[in-house]
This record gives sequence, structure tokens and C-alpha cells, in this order.
Amino acid sequence: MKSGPQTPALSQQISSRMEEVESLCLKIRGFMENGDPGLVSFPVELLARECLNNAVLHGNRGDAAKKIDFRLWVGRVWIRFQVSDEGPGFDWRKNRSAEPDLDSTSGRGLPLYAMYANRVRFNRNGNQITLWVQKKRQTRKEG
Amino acid sequence: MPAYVIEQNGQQGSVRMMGDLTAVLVPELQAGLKDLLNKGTRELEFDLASTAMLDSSGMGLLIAASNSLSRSGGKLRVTNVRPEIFHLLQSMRLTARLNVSGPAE
Repeated sequence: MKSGPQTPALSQQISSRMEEVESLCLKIRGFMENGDPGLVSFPVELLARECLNNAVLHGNRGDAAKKIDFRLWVGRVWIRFQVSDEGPGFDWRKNRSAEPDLDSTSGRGLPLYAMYANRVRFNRNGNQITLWVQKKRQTRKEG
Repeated sequence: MPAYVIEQNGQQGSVRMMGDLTAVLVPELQAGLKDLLNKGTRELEFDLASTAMLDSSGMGLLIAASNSLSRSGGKLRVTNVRPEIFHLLQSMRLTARLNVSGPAE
């Protein structure tokens, strides 16, 4: 799985506020829905939301002075995006396979990564996440 | 346009979402739901006909509402769910738990 082109198709820095997450996610939706037909809007927006929400609440712990970086690249086969926060990071090695029970009101972010992303990578500190989602296959036109 | 409309008629309550059910709305909605339950709502419908996105915070809100209603002998229904959100809830094994139904035929 190649890392794709180096120039992001979409790049934005936001403050650690849920209103800014919402605004960025709507921008991602617009980009995905108006881009090439291979783009898969729902999974990418959902995963981006989960990463950004985690960055605000757990990474930067709601400190609006701390920033979050979002970058998205579109390759021939893959959509790749990366979310980085300024927090101390979390131990993804311990938490990545945890699945909540049905009555639990939290803890579904990481299972969603496993469900909707083809690949998930954390940096060593656990304050940067990169996800890959496969584009829809295009049907080649006849003639 | 409001983000949602809450109505109550005796023990029947409803929340009609006018857009997405995501983290940014959850604190405000939690307060509205608490008020509904305190006023005696036992049967609550969450109408997601206009909802294109549901994140894990929104799911948490639905589960919290369902848990609270169950404790008082009530029930939550999540209705008019679009296919992508239905699939999401199905993948999280929540369709039976939340009494989820798709759009009317």
C-alpha cells in the first residue's frame, strides 16, 4: 500500500472545538461528494469525525488553544487521511481491539476504525493517526 | 432551521432530527432528552429521516436514552434510518437494541 501523492487534496488546521470539527467535516463531505466518482463519502467522513472528536476530547483534552491538523490525499486506489493533535498521545497498542458491550454509551470509535478503514496506523506517541480507505472501483467505459 | 424538533404528548415523545446526529449536538440534546424523560415520556421515537451522518457520540446518546427508558419500563424506537446508517448500526450490533427501522416503503 503506497503512501500516495505528497500534496494533500484537502488540508486544514482547526482549534480543539467541536464546532470547528463539525465545520471541517462538512467541508470533507462537500469535497468527497463533488470529487471524482470513486470517492466514498460516508466512510471517510465518519472516520474523520471519529479521529477529530478523539483529538479534541482525548488528545487535546478540550483545550481550545491546542491545534489539530487534518490532511487528506487522494491516490489512484486509496484515500488516505491523517489527524494530528498536540496531546501526549494514548497507548493504542492496549486499546485497539477493545469492543464495548451493547449498553455502553462510549468506546465505539476504535471499533469503527477497524470496520470502515482498510488500514490504520498510529505514530509511536499515539497523537497522530493515518487511515486508508479504498476508493470505489470504476467501470471502464466500452468502445 | 432548528437542528431538531422535540414533541411530547403524554407518555409519547419524539425527536425529529433536521440534520446529522453528531458530537457537536449531543450535549444540547442530552438536556432536552432529560427534560422529556422527567416529564414522563416512556415511549420515545427518534426520527432520522433527514440524518445523513451518525457518529459514535450520536450512537452513545441513543443508547443512553434507551438505557434510561428501559429503567422506567419505557422503550426507544429509531425510525426512518437511511441505508448507510442502518448498516453502521447493524455492524455495531445495535439494530435490535435500539429498535431501528428503515425508511417507510
